[in-house]
Amino acid sequence: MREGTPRRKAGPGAVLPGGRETRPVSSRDRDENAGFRARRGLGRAGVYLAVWIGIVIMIVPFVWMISTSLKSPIEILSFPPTWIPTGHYLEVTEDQWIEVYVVSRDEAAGTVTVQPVESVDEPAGVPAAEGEMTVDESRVDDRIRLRFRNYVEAWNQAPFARYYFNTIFVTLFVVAGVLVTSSLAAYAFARMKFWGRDNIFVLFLSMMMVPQPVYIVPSYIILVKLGMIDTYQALIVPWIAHIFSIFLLRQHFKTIPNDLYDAAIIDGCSRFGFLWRVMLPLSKAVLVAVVIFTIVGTWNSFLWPLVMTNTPEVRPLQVGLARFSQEQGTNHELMMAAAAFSIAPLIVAYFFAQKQIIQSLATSGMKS
Amino acid sequence: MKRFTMFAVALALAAVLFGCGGGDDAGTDGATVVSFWHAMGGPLGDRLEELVLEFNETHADIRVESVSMGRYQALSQKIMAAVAAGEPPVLAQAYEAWTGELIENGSAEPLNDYIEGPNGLSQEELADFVPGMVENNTWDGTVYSFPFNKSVRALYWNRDLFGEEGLDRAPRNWDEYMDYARRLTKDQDGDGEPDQWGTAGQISAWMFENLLIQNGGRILTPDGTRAAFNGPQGVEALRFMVKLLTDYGKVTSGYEYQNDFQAGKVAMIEGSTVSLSFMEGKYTFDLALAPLPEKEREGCFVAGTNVVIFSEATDAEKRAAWEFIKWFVSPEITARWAAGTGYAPVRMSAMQSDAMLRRFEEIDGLREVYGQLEFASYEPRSGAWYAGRKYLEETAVESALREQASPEEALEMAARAVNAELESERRSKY
Amino acid sequence: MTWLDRLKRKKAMDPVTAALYLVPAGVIVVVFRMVPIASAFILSFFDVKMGRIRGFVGLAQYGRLFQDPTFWSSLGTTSYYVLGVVPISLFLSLFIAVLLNQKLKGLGFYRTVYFLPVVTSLVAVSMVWKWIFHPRLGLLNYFLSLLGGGSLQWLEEPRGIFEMMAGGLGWSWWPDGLAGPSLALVAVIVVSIWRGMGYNIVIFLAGLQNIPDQYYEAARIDGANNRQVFWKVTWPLLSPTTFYVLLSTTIVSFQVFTQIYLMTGPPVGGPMGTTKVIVYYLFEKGFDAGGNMGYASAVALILFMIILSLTLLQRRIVERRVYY
Repeated sequence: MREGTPRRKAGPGAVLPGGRETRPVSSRDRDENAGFRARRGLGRAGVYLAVWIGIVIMIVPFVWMISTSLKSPIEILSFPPTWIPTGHYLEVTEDQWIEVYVVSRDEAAGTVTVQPVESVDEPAGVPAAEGEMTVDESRVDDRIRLRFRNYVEAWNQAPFARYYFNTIFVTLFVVAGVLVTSSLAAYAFARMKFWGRDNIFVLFLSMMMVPQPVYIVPSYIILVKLGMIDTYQALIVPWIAHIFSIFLLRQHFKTIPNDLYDAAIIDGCSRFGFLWRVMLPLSKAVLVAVVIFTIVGTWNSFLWPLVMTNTPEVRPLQVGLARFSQEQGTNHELMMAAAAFSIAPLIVAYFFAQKQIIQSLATSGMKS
Repeated sequence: MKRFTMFAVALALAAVLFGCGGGDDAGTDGATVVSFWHAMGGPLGDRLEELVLEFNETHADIRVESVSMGRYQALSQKIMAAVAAGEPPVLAQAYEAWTGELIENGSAEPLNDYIEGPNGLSQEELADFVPGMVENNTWDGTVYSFPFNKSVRALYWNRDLFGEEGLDRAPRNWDEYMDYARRLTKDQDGDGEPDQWGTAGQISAWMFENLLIQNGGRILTPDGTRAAFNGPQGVEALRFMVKLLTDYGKVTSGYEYQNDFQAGKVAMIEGSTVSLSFMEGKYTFDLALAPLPEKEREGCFVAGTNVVIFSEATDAEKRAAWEFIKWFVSPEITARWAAGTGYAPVRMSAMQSDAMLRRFEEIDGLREVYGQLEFASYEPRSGAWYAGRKYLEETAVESALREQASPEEALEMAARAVNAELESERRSKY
Repeated sequence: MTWLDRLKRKKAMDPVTAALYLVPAGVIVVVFRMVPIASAFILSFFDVKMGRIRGFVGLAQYGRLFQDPTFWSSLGTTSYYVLGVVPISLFLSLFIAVLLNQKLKGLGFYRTVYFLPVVTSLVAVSMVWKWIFHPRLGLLNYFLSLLGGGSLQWLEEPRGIFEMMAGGLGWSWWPDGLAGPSLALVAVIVVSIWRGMGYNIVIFLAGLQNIPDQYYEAARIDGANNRQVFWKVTWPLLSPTTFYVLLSTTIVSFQVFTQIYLMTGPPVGGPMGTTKVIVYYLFEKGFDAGGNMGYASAVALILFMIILSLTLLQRRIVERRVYY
């Protein structure tokens, strides 16, 4: 229930000596009559209702993605769609079932016209019936049928393992690089006095307003000159300096009091030592935010790697996924499977670390 | 200290990572490496990869390294960026309009010396190319590119559905086309909505262009300075297209209409011959192909790209690239490429090859469809038309099919935009 | 030298030391950002075809630009997009954040779910939503059919939504200029809001939790009702957060590209080009064969000016109201 009283944790007003715990007998409760309380109850229900509507809207696309990814190519064509993937089975002989498509149903006669599915995972030895046939409804059984095979098929249709590796590899290096360069630069911007400091900083910030497509061709030329096209370097080097991260860290560094700095210097601490031993440990939350921004940004970046890589050897996951979906055309079940396994790592990681992630993002948001 | 160690390790790793890497252009075995950028994906990419592999196996001193960019837009972007950076590949697929721009940049290698050289092509061999194809790759007497993957448009029809209506052949002219489409549009369950459509299509400038030329029209004026597709023939062609596709057919986005045809919900569709390789094994009815119906004349435009060699490559690379082109357009290979993908063979003698004859056996009507090559036309090659073609598709065809504008208005709007493109190109040249 | 002197010297950092700290980030930013951006802008004065400079044209591209109907319509499309995403996203996320701040049970869970789309890639998101918007088999049309409505074309619908609504009311005529964003663009807007809301909610929640309780108590003692508390306490105290969210959402919205590139088409740019936002337009103009990079750069510069001036304007307007 600590979650329920978040206001108490953060903010300068949180630690009011004494007053807080006696607050339950507040002005509000005293003034309220029974009718008001009932309305409040209703309001409470309304709040939950609104929140839950939002939750459903947020989550339905994911559910639909998973649902589609487990369907057969025939089932995705059915309208109205099914939520739980269902297969139709026809009893051919005693306890011998084959999967069939339902071509049409005749409710009045109680019959179903079906056509056998030729699929490789059916047990051998089942007589494969030819063409359509009309049978009694009772011979057709509907069962939940989750086609995990779609995942295997999608995975095997493109070098996804390689794409995965590429993305992880690139992300690790970018994160390491961003942490180093941003801390150093932010330290300079926050703590040092030099000519044009604030102007340079504003110039940095203004570059965030230029959309990537604008400078992607000149960037390509520079990468070619550096021999980096179609290499990991093309995906790593230009991104190990991240303007927004510099900005976040600078804002945070500025909040660390000057006295601390003076004291540290008097103690014989070097400038770098102060950054390393005092500033960074005090900035853990912001550093976590930087790491998260960088991971999410790198993992999901699309246009840059699309232009800067050519071969599957260095192609990252998102570009591979986009190409996969282009080539699939209308195999929605495979596309959804690929989408699902492409977003899975970040989502799983997010679930494990969600508290820290959200807290540090929140602090970073406040800082700016 | 521990932290510092980790930091040092990371730095060392980075050094290793950025230190190694970089160019190894010459193959380790001394073979000349030819980088080849193309846009073939899916089954087409697989076929091409097989052929490239075969070439590499039979040519020990050359290694073609093909890189698929997935689609033409991506390919053109990469070529452009690479040319800007001064490091294009050795060989690439290119539309005529791109080649034209590359020629102007000095980036496209003239091929006459290769054709006439010791490892060239004889007069008979040149005469064996499908009429018009080499000419279409020639600028002021200089050949800059070679036909690579060329396709024509065909009418795909479902014999079973035609049979139910007592029809045993595809429509041969516009009147039959409309009439058959009307008869094949059926509301079987009586809910007022047809369950079977006569035809279907997508928003496509190609379809309109074919109708235009069949109707005796032209895309641009003969001197290429103004749009001509908005003339009376064009208006009639677009009106025909709109009626056909909206009254007796439906317009889908992308290639969904092909799925509907495969599923037997649509009786006939127009499509590139390449669609064959995407339909393979996905239909259960008796499929046949036919040439496009005619009006004033028979007519169809050839689509697809050619290959260019970039001037920036070394002489050895260029020679190796030429070797690959020559091999690829040889009757045997072009026939196998065509049989495997649905692209048209670029050599007339290839039509008689075993691979093609087998293919003609399998696909009813394919021979006649390729027969259209003999009178086929080619689109204008200027960069301005390449940019302007978008207007024909998006402004004219799309707004007419979506019934946002009448065919006259739609074509007029598109013509204005195309003229502006042509005009600005002219001005930038002088 | 006394320790005091040393301290003073250290405090007044010399440019050389500062440069040392700035070098790693600075080199990267200069080489991979500043130089490309500067050269892109310089290219706007040149004719650049298929990657080669063909000649200096001065301001001619800018002249052409202002007469280019597609430029204006893409600017209009972008405005629709920004006007659609920014206020709605801001309102919804503030609304949800205020609700979540009511000491709800399971706040962690709600927050987690709302934030989920933020960590999913735009590529995957676009694929899933494209499938949801599928005109024949899509989930949304299924929901519409449950509600008794007819199916819509969503990403393939070029008609403006106001025009469609008017049509739904039985009005056969509606002025062209007021047709509004196409349904296709609205679909993209919906996806963008869906994906971006979680981040804004988290930021708002943090802002809300930073408002000291005494203010609320004081307001309650004065007999303020919920609405008054919100407008007199929450809203003003939250204004720095709101400003930050407003600014970042606006900047990001003006730069929208990937959703358009992945979700609309073929041809990309949507039905009748109604989702061709400005960044996509400049990408297509500059990066496709037959296009002109110089021209695209001119478009880019104009866009940059717009974003910059809007940012400054917002700052101006808001600064007077923000209570720091």
